[in-house]
Amino acid sequence: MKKLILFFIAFSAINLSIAQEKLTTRTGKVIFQSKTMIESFYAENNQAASILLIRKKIIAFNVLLKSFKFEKALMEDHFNEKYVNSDKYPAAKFKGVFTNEIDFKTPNIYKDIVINGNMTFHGVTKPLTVIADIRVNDDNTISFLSNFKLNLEEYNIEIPSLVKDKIAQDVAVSIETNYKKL
Amino acid sequence: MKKKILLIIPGIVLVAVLYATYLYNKPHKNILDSDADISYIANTLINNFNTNKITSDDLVTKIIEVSGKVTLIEKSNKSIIVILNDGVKCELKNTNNNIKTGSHITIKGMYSGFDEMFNEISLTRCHLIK
Repeated sequence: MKKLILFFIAFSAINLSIAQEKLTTRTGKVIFQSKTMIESFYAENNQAASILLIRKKIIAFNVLLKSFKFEKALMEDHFNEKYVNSDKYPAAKFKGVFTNEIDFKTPNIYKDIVINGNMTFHGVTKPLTVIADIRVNDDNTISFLSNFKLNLEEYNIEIPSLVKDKIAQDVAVSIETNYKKL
Repeated sequence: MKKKILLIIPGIVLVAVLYATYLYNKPHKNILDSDADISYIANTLINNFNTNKITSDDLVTKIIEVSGKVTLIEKSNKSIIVILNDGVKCELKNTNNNIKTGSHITIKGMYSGFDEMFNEISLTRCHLIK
């Protein structure tokens, strides 16, 4: 009986280690914000999709721009129609790799992980390096946190000249995702 | 005559300001109270999408009602993601509801695009109809 239990434990351990290469979430939180003296905006998206490949050290995000929620409906319309043109370019995507050794089994906080990748936004793909924290939590989850800036001009997003001085060229992006281990 | 002009100009300015204020404070589209533009059985929607009978252009900015079987539930602090028939992703506000994997539900929400990562048709601001 003991052997059988041991076998069962060993077997499920193998199963787990196989299953755990790929961690996913569909409830990632992405915040876009811009603050200037005259106008500021804040938009939140709570349905970002993400995949974290533990062994390959790849992290990828797929964010649908129409899922961003603004406080004001007018701002949401402007964002979608005038700025990011979300009918034509529905998603923003990032895929990057990191080189740090991370023990995804033991709770710990890994700060300032450098992730080199490519960002696709508004139909433009550019290399982008972001700095992130990866937390291996004790409740069997892994958190990923990152803050970075996106320069709108680099992604061919034109700001109407009328409001050019009011809206910052750089938009602050913050990402927070939580992956459940099986 | 001069008096009339003096009255008209502030009148126009007032109307413009009121209209601008109205636009600025325009409320978000109330999905629960709006009629759905299209209704689908989840499987039909997925099949039609995969065979290009329906494209993103057909669905964009539309309110869609979908019924199907819950195949996955993902919860976060702010919202619940419910997957219907492994292919339609719906974001509901995190309210207490009894949605369980395997149950048949009908959901109404705004189409927000196709998620290429998990190959799911994505709806946002969803409400549970039944």
